[in-house]
Amino acid sequence: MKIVGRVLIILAVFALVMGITYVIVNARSSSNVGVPPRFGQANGRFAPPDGAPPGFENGERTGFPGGGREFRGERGGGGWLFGSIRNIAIIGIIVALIVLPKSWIQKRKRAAQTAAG
Amino acid sequence: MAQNQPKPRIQTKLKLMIDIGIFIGFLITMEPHASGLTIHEWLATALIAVLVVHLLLNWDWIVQITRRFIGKMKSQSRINYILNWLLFIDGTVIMLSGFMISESLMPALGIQLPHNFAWRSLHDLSANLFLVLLGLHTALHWSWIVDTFKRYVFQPIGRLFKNRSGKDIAA
Repeated sequence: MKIVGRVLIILAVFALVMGITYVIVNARSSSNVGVPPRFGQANGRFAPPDGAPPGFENGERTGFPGGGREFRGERGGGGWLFGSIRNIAIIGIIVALIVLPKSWIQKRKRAAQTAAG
Repeated sequence: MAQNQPKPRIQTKLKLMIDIGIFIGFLITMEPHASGLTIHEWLATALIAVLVVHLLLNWDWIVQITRRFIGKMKSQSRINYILNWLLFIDGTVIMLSGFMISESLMPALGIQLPHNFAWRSLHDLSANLFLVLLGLHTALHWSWIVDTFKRYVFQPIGRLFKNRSGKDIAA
């Protein structure tokens, strides 16, 4: 019962953050994208604003080829492996940048305390 | 005293296993080229449940720090707490934006969502930010990670080799 209550609290906060994000994104995209979205032109779906990438005719989405992190096509030559290694490397660098100076400072503190004591 | 020991030990082991699982799952979901979009979306959704378990296992710490946050406490705990909230919020944004641009999961559930460019860029941005936050989260828990790995992974493996070599000598 205790666990169910905790899960409900987590899910409630999760839903709250989602709701706030949804409202913010929708408010922003409908107010300041430069060109207001035109509804009702293509069977009630979004019509593309001027300057939108090709492939958005009649509100259709193309799957964002090459534009972002994910696309349907396979990346050849072990590129995905490079991506995973890159992600681990980024985390490793951040960890090293924090852990190494921290341990160095702690060692110096301990050495100073030993010298004083 | 001896009866009280196994529970935290099992919990620490469980925490370690779940954290390793989350980390591997995160690495896979960060590379949808490797897994494909379908696995990317379903795996990321499954990670919600694992993250809930992660939060439940650390519930006492969350409650304790929430109560003491305004009062006197270690600056590292405060930074850790804020960072964890940022991770939670960013993770939620990734999930929501992922649902909004879903090409596999939502259609499979029979849900059609309006298309919006903003969700796409938000998904990429929040995923990149999550990587940085995860690095900071790992750095702040580094001593726990090292200690737990030593205790539950390296030492048992070392003992296994010692026992083997001992048996070989005896034979």
